[in-house]
Amino acid sequence: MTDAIPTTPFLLRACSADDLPALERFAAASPVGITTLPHDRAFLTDRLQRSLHSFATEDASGEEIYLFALEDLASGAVIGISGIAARAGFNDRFYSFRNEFVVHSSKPLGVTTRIHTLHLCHDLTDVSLFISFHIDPAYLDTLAPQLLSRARLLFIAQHTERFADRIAAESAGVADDNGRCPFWDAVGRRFFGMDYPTVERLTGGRSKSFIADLMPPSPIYVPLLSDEAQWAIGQLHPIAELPFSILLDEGFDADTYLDIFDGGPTVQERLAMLKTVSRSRILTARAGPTAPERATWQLVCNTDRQHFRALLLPAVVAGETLVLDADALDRLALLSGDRVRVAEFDVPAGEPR
Amino acid sequence: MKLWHLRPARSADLPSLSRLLPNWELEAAASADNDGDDRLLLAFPGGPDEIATTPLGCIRLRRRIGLAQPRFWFHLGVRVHAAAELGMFRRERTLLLGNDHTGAAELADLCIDAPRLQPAQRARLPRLLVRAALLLLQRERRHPGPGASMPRVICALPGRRDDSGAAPFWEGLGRHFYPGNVDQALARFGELWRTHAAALLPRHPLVVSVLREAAQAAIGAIHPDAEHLRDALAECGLRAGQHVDLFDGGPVFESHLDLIDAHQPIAHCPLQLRAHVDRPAPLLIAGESDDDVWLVPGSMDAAGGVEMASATAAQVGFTQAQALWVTARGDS
Repeated sequence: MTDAIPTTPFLLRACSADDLPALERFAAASPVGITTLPHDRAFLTDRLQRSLHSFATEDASGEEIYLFALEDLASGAVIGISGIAARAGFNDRFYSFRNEFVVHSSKPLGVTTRIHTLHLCHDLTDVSLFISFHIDPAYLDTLAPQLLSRARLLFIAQHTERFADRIAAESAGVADDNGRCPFWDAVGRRFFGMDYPTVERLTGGRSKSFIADLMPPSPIYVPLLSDEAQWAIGQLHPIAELPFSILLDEGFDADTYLDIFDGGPTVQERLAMLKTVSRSRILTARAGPTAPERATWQLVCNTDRQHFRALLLPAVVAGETLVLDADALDRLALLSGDRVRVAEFDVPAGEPR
Repeated sequence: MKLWHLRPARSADLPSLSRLLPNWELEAAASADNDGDDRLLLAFPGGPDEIATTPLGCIRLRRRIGLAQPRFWFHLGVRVHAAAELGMFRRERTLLLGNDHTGAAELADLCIDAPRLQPAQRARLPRLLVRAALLLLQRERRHPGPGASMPRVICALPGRRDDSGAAPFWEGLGRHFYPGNVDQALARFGELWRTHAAALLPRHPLVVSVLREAAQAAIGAIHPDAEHLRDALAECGLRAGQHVDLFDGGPVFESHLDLIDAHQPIAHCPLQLRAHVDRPAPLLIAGESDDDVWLVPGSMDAAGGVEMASATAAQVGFTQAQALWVTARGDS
């Protein structure tokens, strides 16, 4: 560390009832393909209430949705939103395409071919799902997206009884500003008979049973799709590149599943295999002076559910103790001596800002 | 009325077959010399004394297909996608590779030497060839031997080609799975190339709408040159079913032999020789066992016998009271 410790002016916390305007702001800015935040006040209000209840309830059933808000502490503005659905497809199936490769061979013709196929599946039903990642573009080059994404893993690690042991996350696939989506045009449109923005509005998720009624149960043979659609398979919408890269760095597998609508990659991995989770441990917070030469970057959260808070900051780990200055303790709503969950964070090249 | 003689091809016929069949089929024609399951019937005008050595047409009769090597076709089906909550009800055509016609009889390789035929004959000869092959199947069904074929008959019609001779159906489907040269595969393996290629094709149902439009349009489309064959098959009760060829998407016509009997009733009766037959009509006649078929003038009498002029019978080698298989719906 250098002798000047950069302060991290961001705080991740559980969403409060006051965050509805922020939710509306991010929903309005969402491109087509981000299905979990439709621009609909009633829907967003309901979703926020559901999140408040999820954080508060002692009786978790699996249908909880946890929304988090990222604050710029300098301005107090909410600059990002992220969330977790405890169980994907709760009470229904959660649909994905699974990439499979079949090898066909004809000895007489001397030909062996490896054919890429897409299988409609429910494999990710009941896994926990990262949802609603939105960040103000002005903060893309800061550590804010890192905190916004990874702190969710600390929350899950701290409250494992509320989540599955496998986590998945959808990433927006290729679509233009008008919502035209080559993968949808080649696949879904043939079965739904409507354009992508319309189906997004109607479905609002991947858990509707009518998907099974409309999509073919047999595999889709990728070589038969248009070149444009083939190219779109597993490709990202530009807005998804940064959050996707964070998930890859965590160790998520990105090769197995696709979104059934836009063909974007759906990553998934066992919770225990993810970097932040495997590194995380419980320490005791102690108030003390920061020592720049001994500090390392840490993701830190309190162990409270309803008043969950997390920071990304340089701090000194001494044995089973994490030394935090008074400001950090205060932001985390901690007192010296409280337990904290901590995971060492690898600062990306060029960071922090 | 002109006599016609249809008989199985022999090795000696090979030189004269090159006008009708592609090179890769000539070998198969010769090897079928003694194979009752795979007969190439050749059509010659006139009686034996006319010494017609060059056939004007041919048709292959396979009695039990797909039992030694699997045969493949695409089954054309429909899957309904309905979602009540969206008010949607969509029908999707599907293609599924399978061996559905295994064990059926098949008419194939129908060819005529068009330049040597009068325009009217170009329509009639395919009818004659189809009727003769069906007569043999109908006869066999009345006296089934061991390993008799199932009572179904199929015939795959040539499908659509584009101006360059390529098959749009193959270009839109099969080529993605077997990029090799089809002509070379055909030259090397003959019809068996389809069996080999099928190993590379999708085994799951394919949604037709995923294929490009030219390939979709070629499903079940008939090559313009095959219209006479289509008409001949239709007259005998064969119709396009739910299968298409895996290469060009041409329709597979099919029928149950019961339906063939309804369109082409046959009788098993003794021959009555007459000095003269009033108002003779063309009769298609086969003997008891061999696969020769004759188109000759004669008549069916009210007692269920067949009458023929002695001179005609002598010409084709039939004798008084000989039991014959006859259909009055011969086509001259």
